[in-house]
Amino acid sequence: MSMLEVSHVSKSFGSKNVLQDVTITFDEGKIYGLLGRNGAGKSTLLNIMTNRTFADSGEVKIDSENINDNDAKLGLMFLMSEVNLYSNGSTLDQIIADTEMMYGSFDHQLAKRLATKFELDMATKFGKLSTGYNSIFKLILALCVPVKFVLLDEPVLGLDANHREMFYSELIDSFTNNPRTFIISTHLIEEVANLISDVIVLDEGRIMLDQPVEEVLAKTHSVVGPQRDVDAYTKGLNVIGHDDMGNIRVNYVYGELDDRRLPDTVQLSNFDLQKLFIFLTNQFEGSRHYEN
Amino acid sequence: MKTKQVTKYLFRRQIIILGEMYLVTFVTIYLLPFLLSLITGTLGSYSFTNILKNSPISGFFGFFMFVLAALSYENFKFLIQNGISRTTFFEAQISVYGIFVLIGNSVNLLYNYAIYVPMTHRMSFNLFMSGYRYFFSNGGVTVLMNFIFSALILAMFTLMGMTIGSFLSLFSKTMQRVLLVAVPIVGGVTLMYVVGAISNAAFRYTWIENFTKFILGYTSQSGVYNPFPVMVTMFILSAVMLFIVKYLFSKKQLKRE
Repeated sequence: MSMLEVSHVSKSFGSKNVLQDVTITFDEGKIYGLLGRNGAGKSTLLNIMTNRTFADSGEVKIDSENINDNDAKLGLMFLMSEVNLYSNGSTLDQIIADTEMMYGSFDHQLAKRLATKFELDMATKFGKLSTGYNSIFKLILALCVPVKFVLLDEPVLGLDANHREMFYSELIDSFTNNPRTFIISTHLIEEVANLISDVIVLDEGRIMLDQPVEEVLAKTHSVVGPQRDVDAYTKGLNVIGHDDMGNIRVNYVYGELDDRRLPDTVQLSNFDLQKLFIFLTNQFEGSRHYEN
Repeated sequence: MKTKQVTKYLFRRQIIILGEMYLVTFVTIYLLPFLLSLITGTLGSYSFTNILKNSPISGFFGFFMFVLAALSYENFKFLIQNGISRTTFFEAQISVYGIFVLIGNSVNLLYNYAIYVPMTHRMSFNLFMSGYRYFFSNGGVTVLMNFIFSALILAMFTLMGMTIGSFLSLFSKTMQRVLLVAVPIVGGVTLMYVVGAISNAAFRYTWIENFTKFILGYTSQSGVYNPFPVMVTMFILSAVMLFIVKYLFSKKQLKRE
């Protein structure tokens, strides 16, 4: 089993610290959701992981071997991002042939099926593609190259709802048929919530959360009831946010609940990943008392 | 290492660009004057031989190599997308340009010896033949030395293009524009000053003049120059530029556009 390790990576642009001492490990055969607000450093991190840009400090390793200037290790990753690194004058068929030459093989059968399904003409020139089809083509490449780590940076950019659904379904199929690591960086948390096995939240260049989704969701508790009872019940707990609806208050707690008695007027349930993300990355009262 | 695959990829892409450059040049130099003569009714004054005599066909290749070598960022983008390291890119690129220089230089000399000289009856078709051909008495050695001398010039042009292109690729587009405007002006003024200073009487008979004469291969015999000092100089400069290019390639990274 291969392992991709990011170890103490920091990066700044001018006076702005984009990544600060980031350390994460990606295991093979999992789907990770890399979440973060705009400017949190997600794309920079993915670019450093694939050696497109350099970190100021720290290192990235695959199976304990540094990936820097290392064909064997770089060839185990494919980063699909909104940045266009293909020649506008090349046809999609030509790009596939060139990509195959670099990676050694390519799943032509899957590429052909996906092109038909998404109604993509492979004789088209890359520069003539619309934003949506540009993403679709790059997603096809990402699913068809023989790599162990597929990194997707905002993969559904410009895709309509139908195409997004089709892509998620194909992603699951591809993962089932050929288990490998997917790292999906996206703003559309609700759409990937049921897809990912692990969640990583990046905020202001630091890792705020790095856990399996199941464990994370088990620690989310929305406490609903009259404001006085809710506040009393959640006193001392890690309240990361709240909502008020008239006299009714919802306090959102992240963390373990102790064995305190639940008042009859108060109800407990879990809340979703998107809400957790919003509260964790907002400057809410208590938002910094997260668990890692 | 995926040097073989990358070399194949770069060769195929760049030979097409080279072909396009030749096509545009030939259309501009030969076809356009012909068409203009046809349109203006001055076809009688159109002379293919005259155009051939006055156009530096073998010089085009050096210029093309310079331009081609300066444009490295596009290939870097594709290669880094596909998990190719900077070292592999550098090695493959040097191999491709090496092959191009060998082919281009052979074609140039073949063209000059087989077509240009018989048609124009001019022997001074390049720098070596203009300045250094009398140094050797044997015809075969002259051709061989001409080949090596011309290849070194082409290698210099190519490495110069690679150095400039790789250096510029480290900067943002705005900074590139500033450099492209500022450097020729500053360089031009500096060059004018240096040339002016060297040609000044005060500098004559100094070590600079002696050194220049040594590099250019002055001999006691009038009109006979020794090509070896200039060839060694070109070789050393090429080696230095190669080292600089390798360093600049290792610093390439994706720019925020």
